[in-house]
Amino acid sequence: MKCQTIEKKLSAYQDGELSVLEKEQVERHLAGCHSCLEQHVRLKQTWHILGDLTEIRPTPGFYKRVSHKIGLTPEKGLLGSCWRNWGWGALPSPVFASVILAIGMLCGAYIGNSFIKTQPFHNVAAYPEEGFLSSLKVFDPVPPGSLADNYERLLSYNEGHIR
Amino acid sequence: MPDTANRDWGNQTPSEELVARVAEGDDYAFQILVNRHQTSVLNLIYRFMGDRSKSEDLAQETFLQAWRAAKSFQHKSKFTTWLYRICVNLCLNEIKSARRKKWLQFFQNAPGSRHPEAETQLDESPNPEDLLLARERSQQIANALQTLPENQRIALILKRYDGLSYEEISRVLGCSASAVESLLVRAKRTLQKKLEIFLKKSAGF
Repeated sequence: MKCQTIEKKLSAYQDGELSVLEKEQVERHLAGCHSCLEQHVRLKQTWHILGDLTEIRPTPGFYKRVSHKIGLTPEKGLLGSCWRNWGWGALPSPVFASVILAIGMLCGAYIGNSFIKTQPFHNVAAYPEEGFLSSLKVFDPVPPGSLADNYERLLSYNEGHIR
Repeated sequence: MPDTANRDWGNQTPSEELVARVAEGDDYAFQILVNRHQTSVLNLIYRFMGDRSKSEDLAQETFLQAWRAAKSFQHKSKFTTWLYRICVNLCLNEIKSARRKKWLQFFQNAPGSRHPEAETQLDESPNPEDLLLARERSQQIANALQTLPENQRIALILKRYDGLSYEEISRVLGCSASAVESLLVRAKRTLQKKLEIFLKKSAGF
């Protein structure tokens, strides 16, 4: 075999991928060719040097993160499990957030309204609806209990007083 | 919760058998597979991509895809060959999308992102000077690896660090064993030149 052919075969020889016959041919050539032997040594050293590349380790909880992505591990906490058990997982989160926000606003308005009734400026005649339905007035241009509403009431109260 | 006998069964079971159980929805078998192969998958990605932060995400994605594709695993090849193929495809896709982003940045006249430098996590060593040298050496090796074309790089990593045969590498890359041989010849020649400084130091050539 020529040096050029041997040089190409050296890599496979070192990797143990040559047939018995080819392996013998390479070994015979290396025994009598200094330059090919030198190349063989250099290649081997390069291979050895590559071993100095440090190995990294996965961060703790690697499997947990994978299983969480797949959905094998339930979400932590009571709310998470309720969410899954009640089948609310199918609801897109923005929809859920909007519903919660609307409920919150209505409840806030309802509670606020009940407080306002005790205020001296409260005009009961203007807001005859009672209970939950009156809380819908939170969507009015001038919702009851707001700064603008109180300002209007103050004006009408003053006007009534002056007359 | 699996009992102790089951645990022993799992730890000694070949990966090929475990993946068949994963296909039936056995999450305990999947846990064993992840724990068994997470380090090799992570390091394969890290050595190929040269970026620690991306490696963990891609490793997780590899196992995610393995879980989804468990039913398609044909027992003709080794599990690792199949898993590494998923992993390599993910890495190649990541590189493609990174290239696309780079082009976009170029056209948007944004400052181009430099090639991510490989981070190294070194074993504890009592001598800080040795640590520094080892870190430097590891960095240079990682940089040299990054200069190789993708298919040469992956073939070399699979041979050097995962000990796959030419036949197995050819299955991962989807090419012939003789193609793998020539890829490795070219990769080794390039690395020999790039790492010559270390050769001179160690052999006195």
